[in-house]
Order: sequence, then structure tokens, then C-alpha cells
Amino acid sequence: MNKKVDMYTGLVSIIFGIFVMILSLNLPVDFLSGGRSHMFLPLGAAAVMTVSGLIIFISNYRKIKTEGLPAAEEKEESEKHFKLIIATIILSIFYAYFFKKAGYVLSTTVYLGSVLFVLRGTKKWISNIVIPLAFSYIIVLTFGNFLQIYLPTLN
Amino acid sequence: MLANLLDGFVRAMSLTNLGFLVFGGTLGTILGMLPGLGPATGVAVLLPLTFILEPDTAMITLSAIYYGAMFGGSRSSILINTPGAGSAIAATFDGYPMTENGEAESALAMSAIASLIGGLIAVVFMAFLAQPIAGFAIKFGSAEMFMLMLFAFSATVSITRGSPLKGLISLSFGLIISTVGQDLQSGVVRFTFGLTPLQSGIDFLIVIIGIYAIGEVLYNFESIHIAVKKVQKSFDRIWVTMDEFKRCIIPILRGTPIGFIIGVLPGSGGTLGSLIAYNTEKQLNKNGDKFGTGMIEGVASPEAANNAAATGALIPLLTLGIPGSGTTAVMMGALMMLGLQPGPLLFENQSTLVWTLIASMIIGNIVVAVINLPFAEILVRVLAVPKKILFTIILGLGFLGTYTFNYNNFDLYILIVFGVLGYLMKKYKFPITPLILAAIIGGQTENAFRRALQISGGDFAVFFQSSISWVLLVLTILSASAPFFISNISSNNGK
Repeated sequence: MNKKVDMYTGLVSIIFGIFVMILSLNLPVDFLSGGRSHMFLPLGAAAVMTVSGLIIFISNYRKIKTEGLPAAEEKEESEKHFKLIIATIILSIFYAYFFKKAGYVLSTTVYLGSVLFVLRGTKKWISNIVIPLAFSYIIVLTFGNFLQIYLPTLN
Repeated sequence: MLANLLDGFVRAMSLTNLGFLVFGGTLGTILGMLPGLGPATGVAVLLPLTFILEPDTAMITLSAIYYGAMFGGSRSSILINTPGAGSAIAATFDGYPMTENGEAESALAMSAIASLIGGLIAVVFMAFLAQPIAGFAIKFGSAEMFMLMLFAFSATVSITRGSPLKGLISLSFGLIISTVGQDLQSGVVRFTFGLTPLQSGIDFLIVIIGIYAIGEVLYNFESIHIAVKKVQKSFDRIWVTMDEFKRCIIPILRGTPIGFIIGVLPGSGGTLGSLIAYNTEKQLNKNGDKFGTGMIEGVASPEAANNAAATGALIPLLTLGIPGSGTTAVMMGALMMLGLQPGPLLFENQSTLVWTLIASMIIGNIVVAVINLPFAEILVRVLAVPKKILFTIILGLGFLGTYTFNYNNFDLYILIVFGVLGYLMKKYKFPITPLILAAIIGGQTENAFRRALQISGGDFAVFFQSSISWVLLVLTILSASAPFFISNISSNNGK
């Protein structure tokens, strides 16, 4: 694994660990007993996270200092995949937002269709539309008729 | 025990249970075959299907998916040199060379036969061991339960592959997740940031689906443009000769106990079991020096170990309430969703269900072997389904499953957050099992800890009073220090 990336993951763990420790220490006391036992677990876990992150950070920082950084990786390919992943995440957020508002069939067809267009391009546009449409109708029928689970409909 | 098992057989062989067993086994085999989708993902996305089922039928279906995936995982290892599940990686070492040598039929047949024998022997081990372990664990008080969970955490972190420090971070994060929401004991609201839907906590099933299904899909997008190898689609008779069977029976019998013992250890699962079985066989077998060139023994031993480990991993789940692998962690979630609490009391309160499940595993192993032998030719066609379509459907199933847990739109946002987290964890090599384990049993660990302190009036000595606690403490220290000893030994050997 890339030492620089590992160093940053260590740093993120330290920051997150300290953040949770501060939040834990600021939790209100137990209304009834005045005890603080409810802060032990998050405080302990955050402390372990911080220390582990610190060790990862220091060890990788030292390695970089002594061994230097490895040659750059294939940037173009990873950028292409990164865009794909970001697009899917954004589409997923929209899907979550419209899930109830637009109803299951419409929101799912649009979401899965969009993901397919992002992944496969426009050449296979027919199957990019037919597959999500068939999927959402099969799910609605199966869940409604056999599992008695009713999914949101367009109001 | 025998009466319970016989009763279990009668229940497991009801038409409904048999039907769902075949359904689960087939679905598991197909899911197991698909590279990038492990049994944990399969069980996670198919959880909603068990909503309307009786608890015993639901558990039979989920465990059939589990060992079905164990059988199926090796199909893609053998045919396209890509394991369907991590635990099938050892099947690539000799399985794929066998395909290249024109012996795919023998490799496919032997992997199914070895899985069947390994699975059946492991179920027998399980039937004998599970009740005594549960009987012993029932004596545990809160302090011992806390120490046991501490040992489970430590073993999971040290056994899971990768950096133990990253394992600790993953575990800590899981524990923090388990504390989100209103603390039932004190009434204090923790880490909700004013978001009302978080007051009831983060449902660990959403964490599981997010990390395993959505995270796995996003991670697979990184290799989505890599061309898939062509799959062999027509076969001669998928079977082995008597000579091949004779050569493999001892490796199978050697691999089974290795897989089973490793499977019982929390966090280890089938991957480690099958790899150790393969290496052991390589050293003990008279043809060991030819391993890697297409030796059938190299397929038999890890495949037997793989299925034995899958069964072994169910023991800590059912008897102690501690999952032994990522998939059993998902199954623990399913049990809890069905209103059942895995652990020593399960054998007392739900003995019928437990014995039905054990009996179903004997029948199920045979059924799945049957599915994997004559129908292998049909099933492997699934490998030809384009990954882009498959992963899109998994995304759809992940969202669907999450919504049906609570019919709450907010859960979909939580799912996306954990999906991204799962992707980042995979990308930056953070082990996932410690997080899942901690998210599931974190609440119980905290309760056991606080209850023990309440009983002792705040005296921490309560954790060191019984001999069981001491044994568990020693085991915790040993397992925690194991990775450092191992890395020291390997670096010394390397010098």
C-alpha cells in the first residue's frame, strides 16, 4: 500500500478519534445516577483509534523520510474509475431523495438506468432502459403479491 | 442429542423447508460464483426475502445461501482463475491449471465432492460440540461475557488479514457506531448531532448492506473495464475417476479438521482455513512439489477445509453469540431481526430451531453438491452475465433491502454513507470484519461491562475474579500479541 496514503489514513484516524473523545467527554451525566459509565465505551474506542492512527502515521512518516516515495501510479485509469464512483454516489443520493417522492418504479428505473448509462455508455441504450424497468416491475410485483411488502408509489 | 437431531430432520424435511433449502442453495451457488460478490454480500442483499418466513425456514434459507456460496465460489476459481469468494482463492492454485490442462470436469467434480465431505464431517463435529459449549457458556456472568467479547475482538483483529493496527481502527469505529443513539440505561443521547432518526441508533443491518453490498460494488467499479476471461461452457461428464478419488480422500480428511478448527476462531473464516489446508497438504502430500501445476489433491484439501470452516464459524455464533466470520456476522443480524438472540440460551429457548438448522445443513450439503455436479454446466453460464449489469442490480437490491427494514427514507442516506465507507476501507486495506463484529455486539459488550460494574459496585476487580475470566484474559493477550510475534519471526526468517 502507498505509504503516503497510509500516512493520511493514520492522520484521519487521529483526527476522528480525538473528535469522538471530545464529544464523549462532553456527554451529559446520567440523569438518575449522575454516573458517567455511558461514556466509557466510546471514549475507550476513540482512544484506541487515536493511538493506532498515531502509530500508523509515525511509522509511515519515518518510512517516507528514509525510503522516499514510490513512483507515481497510472493516474489516468484511476481518475476514470474515480469519476465513475463519484457519479454513482451522486446518483445514489438523488435516488434516496426521490425514492418516496417519485415512487419506487420511477425512481428505481431512472436510478438504475442512469448507472447503466454511466457504466455502459449510450450504445446499448435499449437494454439500459429495459433492464431497470423490468427489474423494478418484477420487484414491485414480487414484493406486493408474495411478500406483502408495499413499496412507495407515485403520489 | 440423537433424539433432537432426528426431530430436527423431520422438521427440516417439511416441504416448505426443503423448497427454501433448494432455493437458498441454488441462489448461494450462483452468488458464490460471481467474482466480487462473497457470501456475506449475498446473505445481506437477500435478507428481505426471509421477512415473511418462519424463523427456522429463514435460517435454513440463509445458511443454505451461505454454504451454497462456499460451493459456488470455487467454480469461478477453477474456470476463470478468479475466486467467487475470498475463501475460494486456494482453489485457483491447482484448479485453474487443471482447466488449462483440459481437466476442468475433474476439478469441478472434486471441489464439489470435497466440499460435501468436508461440510458433512464438520456438521457432525458441530452437532457434538455445540451443545456442550453452550452448556458451559451459560455459566458465564456479565464479567465473563465481557471478557469473552474482548477475546472475540482481539482474535478478530489479529486473525483478519492485513495490518492489525488498521484492524484496531476498524474495530474502534464499529464500537463507536454501536453507541450512536439514545443509551437505554442512562437516557443520554449520544452522537446524533441533532438528527432525530439517529436517536434509535444505526441499524447494523444497514451497516452490513452498506459496507458489503454497496461498498463492494463501488470497489468493483475500479476493475469494471478489465475484460473477463472466456468461460468454458461445454463439458464432458463432470465426475472423478476412482483413482482420483483415492488420491484425494486423505487430503480431504486432513483439510477438514484444519478448516473446522480455524473456522471456529472468531474472525478467521474460510479464507485462512483453506490457505492453511492447502499449504499443509503441499508439505505432507507425496506430490507436494507438483502443487500449482494442476494437482487434484490441491483442489480437494482446501475445498474440504473451506466448507468445514463455514460450518465451524456457526459454532461461536450459535453457542456464544459471537460470529466467527463476516457472513456469520450478517447471519447474526438476521437472527436478531427474527427476534432470536444467538448465544448459550438459544440452545435452551430455541433448541428445536437449532437442531432443525443443524439437520438442514446435513441435507443441504447433499442438495448443494447435487446442484453443483449435474447442473454445473448450466450454472456456470451465470459467469457470462456482464458485470456492469450485475453490479447495477446489486445496487438496486441493496437499496430495496435497506428500505424494507424500517420503511424509512433516512436509512437510504445512512446506506450511502456506509457504502462509501466500505469502498474506502477496501481501497485502503482496512479489514471489514472487525467493524461489522463490533457494530453488532458493541451494545452487548457495553451492557455486560456496565452490568458487571453495577453488580460489583464499581469495583473493576470483578473482571478478574473467576478462573474463566483469567483464561479469557490470557487468550486475549495471546491473540493480541500473535501478529507481532508472527511478523518478528517472519522478518527474522527473511534475514
